[in-house]
Amino acid sequence: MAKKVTGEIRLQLPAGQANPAPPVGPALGQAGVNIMDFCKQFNAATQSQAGMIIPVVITVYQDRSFTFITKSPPAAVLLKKAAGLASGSQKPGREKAGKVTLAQIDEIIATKKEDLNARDNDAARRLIEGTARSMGIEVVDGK
Amino acid sequence: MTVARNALLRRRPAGQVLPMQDVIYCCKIVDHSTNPALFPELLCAGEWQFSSYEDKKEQTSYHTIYCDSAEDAAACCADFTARLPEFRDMGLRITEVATFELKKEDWSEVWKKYFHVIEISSRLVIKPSWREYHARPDQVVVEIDPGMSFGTGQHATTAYCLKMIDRLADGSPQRFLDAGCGSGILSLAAFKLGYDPVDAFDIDPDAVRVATENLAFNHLPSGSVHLRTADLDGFAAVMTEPYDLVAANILGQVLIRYREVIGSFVKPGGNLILAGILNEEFPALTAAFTAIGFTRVDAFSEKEWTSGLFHKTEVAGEV
Repeated sequence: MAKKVTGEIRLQLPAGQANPAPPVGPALGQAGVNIMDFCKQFNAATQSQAGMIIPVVITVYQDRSFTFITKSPPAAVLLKKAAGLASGSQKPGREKAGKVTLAQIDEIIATKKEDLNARDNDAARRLIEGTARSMGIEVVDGK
Repeated sequence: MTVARNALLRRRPAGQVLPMQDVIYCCKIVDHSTNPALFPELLCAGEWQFSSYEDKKEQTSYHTIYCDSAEDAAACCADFTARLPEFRDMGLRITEVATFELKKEDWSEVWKKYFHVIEISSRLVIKPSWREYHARPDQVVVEIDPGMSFGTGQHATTAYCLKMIDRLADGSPQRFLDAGCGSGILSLAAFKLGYDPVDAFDIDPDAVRVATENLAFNHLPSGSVHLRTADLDGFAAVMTEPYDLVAANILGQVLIRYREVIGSFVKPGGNLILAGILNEEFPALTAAFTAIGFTRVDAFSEKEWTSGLFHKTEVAGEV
Protein backbone atom coordinates (compact mmCIF):
# COMPACT_ATOMS: atom_id res chain seq x y z
CA MET A 1 0.00 0.00 0.00
CA ALA A 2 1.27 3.46 -0.80
CA LYS A 3 2.44 5.46 2.19
CA LYS A 4 0.22 8.35 3.23
CA VAL A 5 1.58 11.81 2.48
CA THR A 6 1.11 14.36 5.27
CA GLY A 7 2.67 17.36 3.61
CA GLU A 8 5.24 18.92 1.32
CA ILE A 9 8.06 21.25 2.29
CA ARG A 10 9.40 23.74 -0.25
CA LEU A 11 12.86 25.24 0.14
CA GLN A 12 15.42 26.94 -2.07
CA LEU A 13 18.90 25.90 -1.05
CA PRO A 14 22.46 26.36 -2.25
CA ALA A 15 23.58 23.19 -4.04
CA GLY A 16 25.70 20.88 -1.90
CA GLN A 17 25.51 23.14 1.15
CA ALA A 18 22.36 22.25 3.09
CA ASN A 19 22.92 22.39 6.86
CA PRO A 20 20.66 22.41 9.92
CA ALA A 21 20.64 26.22 10.33
CA PRO A 22 17.40 28.00 9.37
CA PRO A 23 15.55 27.56 7.10
CA VAL A 24 16.35 23.82 6.77
CA GLY A 25 16.36 22.88 10.47
CA PRO A 26 13.13 24.58 11.54
CA ALA A 27 11.26 23.59 8.36
CA LEU A 28 12.17 19.90 8.60
CA GLY A 29 12.34 19.64 12.38
CA GLN A 30 8.79 20.90 12.85
CA ALA A 31 7.59 18.34 10.33
CA GLY A 32 9.37 15.55 12.25
CA VAL A 33 11.88 14.84 9.48
CA ASN A 34 15.44 13.83 10.40
CA ILE A 35 17.29 17.03 9.49
CA MET A 36 20.74 15.55 8.98
CA ASP A 37 19.56 12.69 6.80
CA PHE A 38 17.95 15.21 4.46
CA CYS A 39 21.07 17.42 4.42
CA LYS A 40 23.29 14.48 3.52
CA GLN A 41 21.02 13.30 0.72
CA PHE A 42 20.46 16.78 -0.71
CA ASN A 43 24.19 17.59 -0.64
CA ALA A 44 25.02 14.31 -2.36
CA ALA A 45 22.40 14.86 -5.05
CA THR A 46 23.40 18.47 -5.81
CA GLN A 47 27.18 18.48 -5.23
CA SER A 48 27.88 18.84 -8.94
CA GLN A 49 25.81 22.06 -9.23
CA ALA A 50 27.88 24.18 -6.81
CA GLY A 51 26.97 27.87 -6.85
CA MET A 52 23.37 27.26 -7.94
CA ILE A 53 20.27 27.82 -5.82
CA ILE A 54 18.15 24.70 -6.11
CA PRO A 55 14.42 24.68 -5.34
CA VAL A 56 13.54 21.42 -3.62
CA VAL A 57 10.21 19.83 -2.72
CA ILE A 58 10.34 17.36 0.17
CA THR A 59 7.40 14.98 0.53
CA VAL A 60 6.81 13.98 4.15
CA TYR A 61 4.98 10.72 4.88
CA GLN A 62 2.96 9.75 7.91
CA ASP A 63 5.85 7.68 9.35
CA ARG A 64 8.10 10.79 8.94
CA SER A 65 10.11 9.22 6.17
CA PHE A 66 10.65 11.54 3.23
CA THR A 67 11.54 11.77 -0.44
CA PHE A 68 12.59 14.85 -2.33
CA ILE A 69 12.82 16.17 -5.87
CA THR A 70 14.70 19.18 -7.17
CA LYS A 71 12.92 21.67 -9.42
CA SER A 72 13.66 24.16 -12.21
CA PRO A 73 15.62 27.30 -11.23
CA PRO A 74 13.61 29.98 -9.37
CA ALA A 75 11.84 32.55 -11.57
CA ALA A 76 13.95 35.25 -9.91
CA VAL A 77 17.15 33.62 -11.15
CA LEU A 78 15.75 33.28 -14.68
CA LEU A 79 14.55 36.91 -14.66
CA LYS A 80 17.96 38.19 -13.60
CA LYS A 81 19.57 36.12 -16.33
CA ALA A 82 17.09 37.40 -18.97
CA ALA A 83 17.69 41.01 -17.89
CA GLY A 84 21.46 40.47 -17.74
CA LEU A 85 21.64 41.43 -14.05
CA ALA A 86 23.73 40.29 -11.12
CA SER A 87 20.98 41.27 -8.66
CA GLY A 88 17.59 42.97 -8.47
CA SER A 89 17.07 46.67 -7.79
CA GLN A 90 18.05 47.95 -4.34
CA LYS A 91 14.96 50.19 -4.48
CA PRO A 92 12.30 48.22 -6.35
CA GLY A 93 9.38 50.44 -7.34
CA ARG A 94 11.60 53.52 -7.48
CA GLU A 95 14.59 52.48 -9.49
CA LYS A 96 14.62 50.15 -12.45
CA ALA A 97 17.31 47.53 -12.39
CA GLY A 98 16.68 46.31 -15.93
CA LYS A 99 14.18 45.14 -18.51
CA VAL A 100 12.76 41.90 -19.80
CA THR A 101 10.51 41.49 -22.83
CA LEU A 102 7.16 39.71 -22.94
CA ALA A 103 8.81 37.12 -25.17
CA GLN A 104 11.38 36.47 -22.41
CA ILE A 105 8.55 36.14 -19.87
CA ASP A 106 6.96 33.54 -22.19
CA GLU A 107 10.25 31.63 -22.24
CA ILE A 108 10.44 31.65 -18.45
CA ILE A 109 6.85 30.41 -18.20
CA ALA A 110 7.74 27.64 -20.65
CA THR A 111 10.81 26.64 -18.58
CA LYS A 112 8.76 26.54 -15.41
CA LYS A 113 5.61 25.16 -17.02
CA GLU A 114 5.57 21.95 -15.02
CA ASP A 115 6.48 23.48 -11.67
CA LEU A 116 4.06 26.39 -11.98
CA ASN A 117 1.13 24.24 -13.06
CA ALA A 118 0.50 24.92 -16.74
CA ARG A 119 -3.27 24.59 -16.39
CA ASP A 120 -3.16 28.01 -14.83
CA ASN A 121 -1.14 29.94 -17.40
CA ASP A 122 -2.64 33.32 -16.51
CA ALA A 123 -1.74 32.97 -12.84
CA ALA A 124 1.79 31.92 -13.84
CA ARG A 125 2.11 35.01 -16.06
CA ARG A 126 0.79 37.36 -13.39
CA LEU A 127 3.15 35.85 -10.87
CA ILE A 128 6.26 36.03 -13.07
CA GLU A 129 5.45 39.63 -14.06
CA GLY A 130 4.76 40.49 -10.42
CA THR A 131 8.04 38.87 -9.39
CA ALA A 132 9.85 40.97 -12.02
CA ARG A 133 8.25 44.17 -10.72
CA SER A 134 9.15 43.30 -7.11
CA MET A 135 12.78 43.04 -8.25
CA GLY A 136 12.67 46.38 -10.07
CA ILE A 137 12.72 44.68 -13.48
CA GLU A 138 10.48 46.35 -16.07
CA VAL A 139 8.42 44.20 -18.42
CA VAL A 140 8.34 45.70 -21.94
CA ASP A 141 6.74 44.77 -25.26
CA GLY A 142 8.89 43.32 -27.97
CA LYS A 143 11.01 40.35 -28.73
CA MET B 1 8.00 53.74 3.08
CA THR B 2 7.00 50.15 2.53
CA VAL B 3 9.24 49.90 -0.47
CA ALA B 4 12.19 51.40 1.37
CA ARG B 5 11.73 49.03 4.28
CA ASN B 6 11.46 46.14 1.90
CA ALA B 7 14.68 47.20 0.23
CA LEU B 8 16.44 47.29 3.58
CA LEU B 9 15.18 43.94 4.64
CA ARG B 10 15.35 41.83 1.60
CA ARG B 11 19.07 41.68 1.00
CA ARG B 12 20.37 38.52 2.50
CA PRO B 13 22.36 36.83 -0.22
CA ALA B 14 20.77 33.52 -1.09
CA GLY B 15 22.59 30.71 0.61
CA GLN B 16 23.80 32.82 3.50
CA VAL B 17 22.51 31.15 6.62
CA LEU B 18 21.02 32.64 9.75
CA PRO B 19 22.82 31.94 13.00
CA MET B 20 21.48 29.03 15.04
CA GLN B 21 19.78 31.12 17.76
CA ASP B 22 17.70 29.78 20.65
CA VAL B 23 14.76 31.86 19.40
CA ILE B 24 14.14 32.62 15.76
CA TYR B 25 11.91 35.56 14.85
CA CYS B 26 9.55 34.65 12.07
CA CYS B 27 6.80 36.01 9.88
CA LYS B 28 4.09 33.50 8.96
CA ILE B 29 1.96 33.76 5.84
CA VAL B 30 -1.06 31.49 5.44
CA ASP B 31 -1.84 30.80 1.80
CA HIS B 32 -4.88 29.05 0.28
CA SER B 33 -3.73 29.37 -3.36
CA THR B 34 -4.54 26.37 -5.51
CA ASN B 35 -0.88 26.14 -6.52
CA PRO B 36 1.39 26.20 -3.44
CA ALA B 37 4.49 26.64 -5.62
CA LEU B 38 3.59 30.22 -6.63
CA PHE B 39 4.29 32.20 -3.47
CA PRO B 40 7.75 30.65 -2.85
CA GLU B 41 8.78 32.10 -6.24
CA LEU B 42 8.02 35.56 -4.96
CA LEU B 43 9.85 34.94 -1.70
CA CYS B 44 12.89 33.82 -3.64
CA ALA B 45 12.81 37.06 -5.65
CA GLY B 46 12.94 38.97 -2.35
CA GLU B 47 15.94 36.88 -1.27
CA TRP B 48 14.19 35.96 1.97
CA GLN B 49 15.29 33.03 4.09
CA PHE B 50 12.07 31.07 3.99
CA SER B 51 10.44 27.69 4.02
CA SER B 52 6.97 26.60 2.95
CA TYR B 53 4.94 23.73 4.33
CA GLU B 54 1.87 22.53 2.48
CA ASP B 55 -0.53 20.61 4.72
CA LYS B 56 -2.15 18.14 2.34
CA LYS B 57 -5.12 17.47 4.60
CA GLU B 58 -5.95 21.13 5.16
CA GLN B 59 -4.94 22.09 1.60
CA THR B 60 -3.21 25.10 3.09
CA SER B 61 0.36 26.35 2.74
CA TYR B 62 2.24 27.96 5.60
CA HIS B 63 5.16 30.11 4.47
CA THR B 64 7.66 31.07 7.15
CA ILE B 65 10.21 33.86 6.75
CA TYR B 66 13.15 33.70 9.16
CA CYS B 67 14.45 37.05 10.41
CA ASP B 68 17.42 38.19 12.50
CA SER B 69 15.41 40.11 15.11
CA ALA B 70 11.89 40.82 16.38
CA GLU B 71 12.07 44.24 14.67
CA ASP B 72 12.91 42.66 11.32
CA ALA B 73 10.06 40.16 11.68
CA ALA B 74 7.61 42.96 12.53
CA ALA B 75 8.80 45.04 9.57
CA CYS B 76 8.55 42.00 7.30
CA CYS B 77 5.00 41.36 8.51
CA ALA B 78 4.01 45.00 7.90
CA ASP B 79 5.58 44.90 4.46
CA PHE B 80 3.72 41.77 3.38
CA THR B 81 0.45 43.04 4.86
CA ALA B 82 0.79 46.22 2.78
CA ARG B 83 1.33 44.13 -0.33
CA LEU B 84 -1.81 41.99 0.08
CA PRO B 85 -3.71 43.77 -2.75
CA GLU B 86 -0.73 43.15 -5.04
CA PHE B 87 -0.71 39.44 -4.11
CA ARG B 88 -4.46 39.25 -4.75
CA ASP B 89 -3.89 40.64 -8.26
CA MET B 90 -1.40 37.84 -8.86
CA GLY B 91 -4.09 35.30 -8.04
CA LEU B 92 -2.72 34.40 -4.61
CA ARG B 93 -5.10 33.77 -1.69
CA ILE B 94 -3.27 34.98 1.41
CA THR B 95 -5.49 34.95 4.51
CA GLU B 96 -3.09 35.70 7.35
CA VAL B 97 0.21 37.49 7.91
CA ALA B 98 1.58 37.39 11.46
CA THR B 99 4.81 37.34 13.44
CA PHE B 100 5.76 34.53 15.80
CA GLU B 101 8.77 33.28 17.74
CA LEU B 102 10.12 29.79 17.19
CA LYS B 103 12.10 28.21 20.02
CA LYS B 104 15.00 25.99 19.07
CA GLU B 105 13.68 22.99 21.02
CA ASP B 106 10.42 23.19 19.07
CA TRP B 107 12.18 22.20 15.90
CA SER B 108 15.47 20.57 16.86
CA GLU B 109 13.94 17.91 19.12
CA VAL B 110 10.77 16.84 17.28
CA TRP B 111 12.37 14.22 15.03
CA LYS B 112 13.71 12.36 18.07
CA LYS B 113 10.25 10.88 18.55
CA TYR B 114 10.81 8.89 15.39
CA PHE B 115 14.31 7.59 16.23
CA HIS B 116 14.06 4.11 17.76
CA VAL B 117 16.45 1.40 18.96
CA ILE B 118 18.15 -0.30 15.99
CA GLU B 119 19.53 -3.84 16.08
CA ILE B 120 22.39 -3.74 13.57
CA SER B 121 23.20 -7.42 14.19
CA SER B 122 22.44 -9.98 16.88
CA ARG B 123 25.45 -8.55 18.74
CA LEU B 124 25.35 -4.77 18.04
CA VAL B 125 22.52 -2.45 19.11
CA ILE B 126 22.23 1.32 18.66
CA LYS B 127 20.13 3.00 21.33
CA PRO B 128 19.10 6.68 21.29
CA SER B 129 19.96 8.20 24.66
CA TRP B 130 16.28 8.98 25.33
CA ARG B 131 15.05 5.37 24.85
CA GLU B 132 15.02 2.32 27.15
CA TYR B 133 16.53 -1.01 26.09
CA HIS B 134 17.21 -4.18 28.07
CA ALA B 135 20.26 -5.78 26.50
CA ARG B 136 21.24 -9.44 26.74
CA PRO B 137 24.65 -10.05 28.32
CA ASP B 138 26.19 -10.92 24.93
CA GLN B 139 25.02 -7.68 23.28
CA VAL B 140 27.03 -4.52 22.73
CA VAL B 141 24.88 -1.39 23.14
CA VAL B 142 26.03 1.95 21.72
CA GLU B 143 24.16 4.86 23.23
CA ILE B 144 23.90 7.88 20.97
CA ASP B 145 22.52 11.42 20.99
CA PRO B 146 23.29 12.59 17.49
CA GLY B 147 22.37 16.22 18.10
CA MET B 148 22.96 18.12 14.91
CA SER B 149 25.62 15.75 13.56
CA PHE B 150 25.31 12.94 11.09
CA GLY B 151 25.13 9.38 12.32
CA THR B 152 21.98 8.00 13.88
CA GLY B 153 22.43 4.49 12.54
CA GLN B 154 19.10 4.91 10.74
CA HIS B 155 20.69 6.01 7.52
CA ALA B 156 21.57 3.25 5.05
CA THR B 157 25.22 4.37 4.83
CA THR B 158 25.80 4.42 8.61
CA ALA B 159 24.03 1.08 9.07
CA TYR B 160 26.31 -0.53 6.46
CA CYS B 161 29.46 0.77 8.15
CA LEU B 162 28.24 -0.57 11.49
CA LYS B 163 27.53 -4.00 9.99
CA MET B 164 31.05 -4.20 8.51
CA ILE B 165 32.72 -3.02 11.73
CA ASP B 166 30.76 -5.73 13.56
CA ARG B 167 31.53 -8.41 10.96
CA LEU B 168 35.30 -7.73 10.94
CA ALA B 169 35.66 -7.54 14.75
CA ASP B 170 37.53 -10.73 15.66
CA GLY B 171 38.41 -9.93 19.26
CA SER B 172 41.99 -8.93 18.43
CA PRO B 173 42.97 -5.29 19.03
CA GLN B 174 42.83 -4.03 15.44
CA ARG B 175 43.70 -0.41 14.72
CA PHE B 176 40.54 1.53 13.63
CA LEU B 177 40.11 4.94 12.02
CA ASP B 178 36.82 6.81 11.50
CA ALA B 179 37.37 9.44 8.78
CA GLY B 180 34.54 11.99 9.02
CA CYS B 181 33.19 10.74 12.34
CA GLY B 182 30.04 12.90 12.69
CA SER B 183 28.28 11.87 15.92
CA GLY B 184 31.06 9.33 16.59
CA ILE B 185 28.68 6.38 16.25
CA LEU B 186 31.13 4.22 14.27
CA SER B 187 34.02 4.88 16.65
CA LEU B 188 31.92 4.07 19.70
CA ALA B 189 30.78 0.80 18.14
CA ALA B 190 34.38 -0.03 17.14
CA PHE B 191 35.70 0.62 20.64
CA LYS B 192 32.98 -1.47 22.25
CA LEU B 193 33.65 -4.30 19.77
CA GLY B 194 37.31 -4.46 20.81
CA TYR B 195 39.16 -2.37 18.22
CA ASP B 196 42.17 -0.63 19.75
CA PRO B 197 43.23 2.07 19.32
CA VAL B 198 40.22 3.91 17.87
CA ASP B 199 41.03 7.22 16.17
CA ALA B 200 38.47 9.60 14.67
CA PHE B 201 38.38 12.99 13.04
CA ASP B 202 35.87 15.34 11.45
CA ILE B 203 36.22 18.62 9.58
CA ASP B 204 33.34 20.06 11.66
CA PRO B 205 34.26 21.09 15.24
CA ASP B 206 30.58 20.72 16.24
CA ALA B 207 30.67 17.06 15.20
CA VAL B 208 33.79 16.51 17.33
CA ARG B 209 32.02 18.16 20.29
CA VAL B 210 28.92 15.94 19.86
CA ALA B 211 31.15 12.85 19.49
CA THR B 212 32.92 13.79 22.75
CA GLU B 213 29.52 14.04 24.47
CA ASN B 214 28.56 10.64 23.09
CA LEU B 215 31.68 9.14 24.70
CA ALA B 216 30.36 10.40 28.02
CA PHE B 217 26.87 8.97 27.32
CA ASN B 218 28.52 5.59 26.96
CA HIS B 219 30.52 6.05 30.18
CA LEU B 220 33.75 5.79 28.23
CA PRO B 221 36.84 7.67 29.34
CA SER B 222 37.61 10.66 27.14
CA GLY B 223 40.80 9.05 25.77
CA SER B 224 39.16 5.78 24.66
CA VAL B 225 38.44 7.27 21.24
CA HIS B 226 41.02 9.79 20.07
CA LEU B 227 38.99 12.58 18.51
CA ARG B 228 40.32 15.56 16.61
CA THR B 229 39.11 18.29 14.27
CA ALA B 230 40.88 17.84 10.94
CA ASP B 231 40.29 17.45 7.23
CA LEU B 232 41.62 14.48 5.26
CA ASP B 233 44.94 16.12 4.34
CA GLY B 234 45.32 17.48 7.87
CA PHE B 235 44.91 14.04 9.41
CA ALA B 236 47.28 12.48 6.88
CA ALA B 237 49.94 14.96 8.02
CA VAL B 238 49.72 13.82 11.67
CA MET B 239 49.01 10.09 11.24
CA THR B 240 51.70 7.93 12.84
CA GLU B 241 50.78 4.45 11.60
CA PRO B 242 48.18 3.11 9.13
CA TYR B 243 45.11 1.19 10.27
CA ASP B 244 43.70 -2.35 10.02
CA LEU B 245 40.23 -0.94 9.34
CA VAL B 246 39.23 2.51 8.09
CA ALA B 247 35.64 3.73 7.70
CA ALA B 248 35.04 6.74 5.46
CA ASN B 249 31.33 7.64 5.31
CA ILE B 250 31.56 10.98 3.52
CA LEU B 251 30.34 11.69 -0.03
CA GLY B 252 31.16 9.84 -3.24
CA GLN B 253 32.86 12.74 -4.99
CA VAL B 254 35.02 13.52 -1.95
CA LEU B 255 36.07 9.87 -1.62
CA ILE B 256 37.10 9.72 -5.27
CA ARG B 257 38.97 13.03 -5.15
CA TYR B 258 40.89 12.08 -1.98
CA ARG B 259 41.37 8.37 -2.82
CA GLU B 260 45.17 8.50 -2.48
CA VAL B 261 45.01 10.11 0.97
CA ILE B 262 42.23 7.79 2.17
CA GLY B 263 44.06 4.78 0.71
CA SER B 264 47.21 5.75 2.64
CA PHE B 265 45.29 5.44 5.94
CA VAL B 266 44.93 1.67 5.37
CA LYS B 267 47.65 -0.90 6.15
CA PRO B 268 48.54 -3.34 3.37
CA GLY B 269 46.24 -6.30 4.06
CA GLY B 270 43.79 -3.99 5.86
CA ASN B 271 40.22 -3.07 4.97
CA LEU B 272 38.40 0.09 3.97
CA ILE B 273 34.67 0.73 4.32
CA LEU B 274 33.46 3.39 1.86
CA ALA B 275 29.98 4.87 2.20
CA GLY B 276 27.95 7.97 1.38
CA ILE B 277 28.06 7.03 -2.31
CA LEU B 278 25.15 7.42 -4.70
CA ASN B 279 24.34 4.28 -6.71
CA GLU B 280 25.42 5.92 -9.97
CA GLU B 281 28.77 7.00 -8.48
CA PHE B 282 29.72 3.53 -7.26
CA PRO B 283 31.25 2.07 -10.48
CA ALA B 284 33.59 5.09 -10.84
CA LEU B 285 34.51 4.88 -7.16
CA THR B 286 35.26 1.15 -7.44
CA ALA B 287 37.46 1.81 -10.47
CA ALA B 288 39.28 4.64 -8.68
CA PHE B 289 40.14 2.51 -5.64
CA THR B 290 40.95 -0.58 -7.72
CA ALA B 291 43.53 1.52 -9.57
CA ILE B 292 45.36 2.27 -6.33
CA GLY B 293 45.60 -1.32 -5.08
CA PHE B 294 42.23 -2.10 -3.51
CA THR B 295 39.92 -5.02 -4.27
CA ARG B 296 36.20 -4.76 -3.70
CA VAL B 297 35.04 -7.60 -1.45
CA ASP B 298 31.49 -6.53 -0.66
CA ALA B 299 28.87 -4.03 -1.85
CA PHE B 300 25.36 -3.29 -0.71
CA SER B 301 22.69 -0.96 -2.10
CA GLU B 302 19.78 0.53 -0.22
CA LYS B 303 17.56 3.20 -1.71
CA GLU B 304 19.84 5.59 -3.62
CA TRP B 305 23.00 4.62 -1.70
CA THR B 306 25.63 1.97 -2.39
CA SER B 307 28.34 1.20 0.14
CA GLY B 308 31.30 -1.14 -0.19
CA LEU B 309 34.09 -2.96 1.61
CA PHE B 310 37.53 -2.83 -0.02
CA HIS B 311 40.65 -4.85 0.81
CA LYS B 312 44.12 -3.35 0.40
CA THR B 313 46.49 -5.69 -1.38
CA GLU B 314 49.48 -6.94 0.66
CA VAL B 315 52.81 -5.57 -0.53
CA ALA B 316 54.84 -8.32 -2.24
CA GLY B 317 57.14 -10.04 0.23
CA GLU B 318 55.25 -8.76 3.26
CA VAL B 319 53.24 -11.12 5.45
